[in-house]
Amino acid sequence: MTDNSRRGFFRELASVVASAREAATEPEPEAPPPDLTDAEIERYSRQLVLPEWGAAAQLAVNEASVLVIGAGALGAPVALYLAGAGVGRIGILDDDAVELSNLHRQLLHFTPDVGVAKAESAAAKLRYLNPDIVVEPYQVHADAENAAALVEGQDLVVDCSDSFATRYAVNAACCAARVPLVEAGVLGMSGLVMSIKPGRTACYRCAFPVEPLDAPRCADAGVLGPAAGVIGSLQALEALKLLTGVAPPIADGFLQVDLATAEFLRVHASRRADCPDCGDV
Amino acid sequence: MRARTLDISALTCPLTWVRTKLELERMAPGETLEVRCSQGEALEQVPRSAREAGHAVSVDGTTIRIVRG
Repeated sequence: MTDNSRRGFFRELASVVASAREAATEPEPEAPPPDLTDAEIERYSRQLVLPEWGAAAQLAVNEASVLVIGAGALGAPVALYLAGAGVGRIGILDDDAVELSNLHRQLLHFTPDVGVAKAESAAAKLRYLNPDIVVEPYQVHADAENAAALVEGQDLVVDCSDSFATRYAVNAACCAARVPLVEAGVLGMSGLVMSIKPGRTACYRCAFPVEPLDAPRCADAGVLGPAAGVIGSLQALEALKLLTGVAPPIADGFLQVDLATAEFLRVHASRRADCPDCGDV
Repeated sequence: MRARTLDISALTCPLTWVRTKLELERMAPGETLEVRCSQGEALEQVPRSAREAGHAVSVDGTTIRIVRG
């Protein structure tokens, strides 16, 4: 059985077991969890060995479908770590092509990739990293028009975009569809990370009701590669926390990271009853 | 009840403990797992890891008996 058909097999098995449970009048014993293959146990051994991470966490990750919006400075470490961890299906979305000026911070793209679509360049590297997972590149720009369709059916969305318009659109779509979301931003040597469980914790718009008027874009303001790497790595870790529950995510607020002074500040934010994105969720 | 057995003698760290841990996860509290290992690192590391994870451990030669906590 190939890994993909195996994955499909387990999904089918889970639904058969679920319907059998519903039909049964007597409570049935728990179905044994599916086995990890020898290759999976070896590939993921350094996370399986963690006290917090067992077969259940690994299988949850293997079964997960995650959309990474943006294949740039944040999307690169996010997608690399999620592919490495074994996230079963990764959608990577970007409508830009690789530019020479991207390479100092966007770890998925190399000099020969200049001119290639970022989504395709990223997908190729991710498939090299982990051929057991499914990687789906999308050459699309996420906006308010298509965000709802993009997030539908995902187990998690990681927003690695570089515009406030996209962030607000993705936040609204994830809130409406109740899809957990990890938001982040990076500029210069600082950034922030925030996990959102729609309807349960403060959303991005609860924390940032309006777009800052003087918000610079990456093209106008520099960013150091390792700073983006730190923020993207934190985002990937949040994604794994949300998928498995191995540790509490940075929710109901955000982590403000100043890498010039090496200060990490946890900022609290509360849900807003009148939030246009999550108030009714 | 016969104890479950696991042979990790051909494995190296961290797979020795990973295999043991995954087997323990499938067992009920109070069940016993007999782990066969070879002399060396695993014989030191696996009992220690098992104790740290809250299981009862005894070692007889190269056999590690773990009662799931």
